[in-house]
Amino acid sequence: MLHNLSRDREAIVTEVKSRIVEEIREKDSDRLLEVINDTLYQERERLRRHSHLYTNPGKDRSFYKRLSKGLGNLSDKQLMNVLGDLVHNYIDEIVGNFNRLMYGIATHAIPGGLTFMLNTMSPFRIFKNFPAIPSVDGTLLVSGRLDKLRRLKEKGGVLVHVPEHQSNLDSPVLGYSIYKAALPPVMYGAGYNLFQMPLFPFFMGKLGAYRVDRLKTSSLYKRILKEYATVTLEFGYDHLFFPGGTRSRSGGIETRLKKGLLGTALKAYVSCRKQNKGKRFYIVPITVSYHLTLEASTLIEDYLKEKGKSRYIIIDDESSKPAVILNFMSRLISLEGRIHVHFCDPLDPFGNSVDDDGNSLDGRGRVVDIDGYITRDGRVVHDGQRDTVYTNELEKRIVASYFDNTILLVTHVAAHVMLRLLRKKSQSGDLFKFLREESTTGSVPSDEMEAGLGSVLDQLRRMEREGRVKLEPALMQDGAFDVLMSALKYFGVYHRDPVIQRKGNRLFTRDPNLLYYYHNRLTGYDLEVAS
Amino acid sequence: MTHAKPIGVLGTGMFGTVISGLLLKNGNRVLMWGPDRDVLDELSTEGKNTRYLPDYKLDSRPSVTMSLGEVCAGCDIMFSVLPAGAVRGVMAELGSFAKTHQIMVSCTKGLEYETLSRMTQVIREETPLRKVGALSGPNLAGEIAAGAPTSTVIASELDEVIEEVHAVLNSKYFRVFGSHDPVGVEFCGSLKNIYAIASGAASGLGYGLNTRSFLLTKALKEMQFFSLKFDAHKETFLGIAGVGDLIATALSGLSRNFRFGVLVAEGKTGEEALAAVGDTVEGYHTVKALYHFVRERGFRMPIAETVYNVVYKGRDTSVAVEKLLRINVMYETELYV
Repeated sequence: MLHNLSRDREAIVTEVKSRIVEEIREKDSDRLLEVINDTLYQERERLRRHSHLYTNPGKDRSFYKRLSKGLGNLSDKQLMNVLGDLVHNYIDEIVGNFNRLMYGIATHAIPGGLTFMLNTMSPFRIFKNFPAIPSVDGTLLVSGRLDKLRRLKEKGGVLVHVPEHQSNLDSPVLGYSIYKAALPPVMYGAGYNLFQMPLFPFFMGKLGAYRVDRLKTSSLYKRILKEYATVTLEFGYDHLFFPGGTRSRSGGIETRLKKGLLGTALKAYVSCRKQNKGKRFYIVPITVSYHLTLEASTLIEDYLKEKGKSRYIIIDDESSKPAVILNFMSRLISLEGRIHVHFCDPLDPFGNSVDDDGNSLDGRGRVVDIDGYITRDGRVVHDGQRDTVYTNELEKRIVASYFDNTILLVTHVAAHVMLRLLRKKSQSGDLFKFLREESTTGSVPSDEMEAGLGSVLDQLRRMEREGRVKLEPALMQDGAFDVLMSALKYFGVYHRDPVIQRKGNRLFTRDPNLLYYYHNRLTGYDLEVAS
Repeated sequence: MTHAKPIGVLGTGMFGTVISGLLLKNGNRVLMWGPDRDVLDELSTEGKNTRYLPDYKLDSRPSVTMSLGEVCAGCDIMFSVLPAGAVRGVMAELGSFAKTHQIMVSCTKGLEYETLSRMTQVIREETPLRKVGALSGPNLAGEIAAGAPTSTVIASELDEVIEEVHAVLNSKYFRVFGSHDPVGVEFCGSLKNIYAIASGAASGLGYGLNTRSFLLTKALKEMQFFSLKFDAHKETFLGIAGVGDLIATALSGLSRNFRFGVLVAEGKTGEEALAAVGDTVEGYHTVKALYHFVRERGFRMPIAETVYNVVYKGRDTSVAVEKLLRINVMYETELYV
């Protein structure tokens, strides 16, 4: 399907532009000048603060300068033309392309290359390092109701993949997982900075990526991004986006999602139904689990410093260093570590479950006609307030699905138990004080740790039987001692200081922040830790 | 404004009858559902419900049915005016007939006893309906029947539900206000029944308005404390469905919960008082569910706990109320625990 993108490109661009201009004409015609001025101001600010991040900021500067001239004296018609220019410029920048040949090369011939091509590295480095890059093929375990997803595709359904986001490795891992699952390639928004690198626009564009510049903050730009996603969904293109917006800084499962892009499937559905098109859209939550997280140190540091917002785009973490990635992957593979990607049961845009034929089901498993939810006085209508409510409900279902389908690994469980036991012994109720001062001086006797692990394993196994979580095989079969030993092996191979280390009969942590990071993966499961 | 299709009213008790009356008065057609053939027959032939409102006569005759399928087939808007304990069963049956475009408004001021679920949650769980809302406020059925100017709140997350309900129900004497806080509105409507029992008990013990308003102000705080844990909106508690409903219910001899409290203060056991009231006393059931719920979670709601101890454990009412009034808190903003 994605190979039709070049064919549909012009039609998509035209549709997006016409919808945006029409929407502003309808809703904001009395504040047209304000919309334009606000956009130009935001752009000037972006260029003033971040021009060093762009290869050719001068071009942008002169474009916005030209549009700014004499704005106050323009007629409404002339202002609409200025708006049209702004919109066109944005869309032109956003729109990507797809090349079947390039996708074939990337997926069949160089899975390792795909890994990094979709990542934040320079393509030059990819090829320079290519012979040494380990293949992710055997390391990546893909699970879930893949047959159901393929069936929905066969029936003409449009898939919107919404994975949780742990690491910059997620993008390549997911790209390759979708290929491995025999699902069609997807459109996805990729950071604008990636397109600034040599050769990258060529690869990224040809793999279905469209450009998202997170430094562009004007509401017009965000509207266009959402509309672009909506229109391409209506054209039938599958999508992938991270609804958490950014990587989980704490290491925990995401509980709050950004609803802007999440709501595009519903908007696309309403638009299709208004045109009597029968297209169906399915939201596919995906969980990704790593024994170790490549950028864990940077992420948790960022979280603890509460700088999440100011450092929203981290450009200097471990994922920007090829040697670190290489080291990470090699060590992960040497321990037979696995990356688990689980495709959860799909949902409709209202958060309902769907059966194997794609019919929506209510809470009691009855097939329901979802058109009724978007009908008023017998007609399908757009209603932003209503759709926000439905999208909030979809968010809750996705988050619940993340929790039920996250595959917990030995490192998460061991870190969780260890930190909880250390905190029990701590004099301070304050987490930050604990992490800063007490955690490295404290220790836990091995037998206490094993008892704690045993109690948590019992609870997790019970929850697994009830469908409330998933566990890697070691957590299902092994005793507490083996689980601990396995976790210690992982913790000893990649991070600079061991997250958990055994000395005699006691366990210590040398990096409490990382211990906290891996512990957080189990936050929200309400586990009791016996000591 | 009238609705093109008949409006369904599930339940033929006091409030079901006055809701039907208000809808009919506004020119709507009404289709009433209930399990009792005799009551339905009287409503459809005489426009009366002698069992619950002997002095009230509807302006026009509603249609009646004992089939939920018929209600779903004919109505786009439905009001559920059922006792809390009956809602899940009725909704489970109705769920097979319901259509997704339909609106369901819960008028039940109670929580599910076993789960403490709100009624709109039960409706959502048992039916495919998404367009749901909760109607609540100081709405003593007897006063509405007598034509007293009254206000109510329709709470729903969806504007569409608020607008549609306002259109069919709002009138000069029955003012309908919208809210986007079904959680707060439903908890207010349910929890205040507990505090109406407390107020009735205080009244029965001879305490005057100073003492009862002291008790009720703290009760409002306690309701808010509990509801905010479920993301209710703070402002709801100072609105019609919050303090408005609490005042009406907790100070009125017309309130069944208040009368129940008076009877308990006079020395009757919970069960004896229940029998004497002779009708649903939602607060009696709600407080039991609430008591166990808060105990399990380890937080305190002293007024509700006192009501539970009196009506279920047979504690002496005067001792319990006095103890409650002596709780030592320095500042008004502090929680009364």
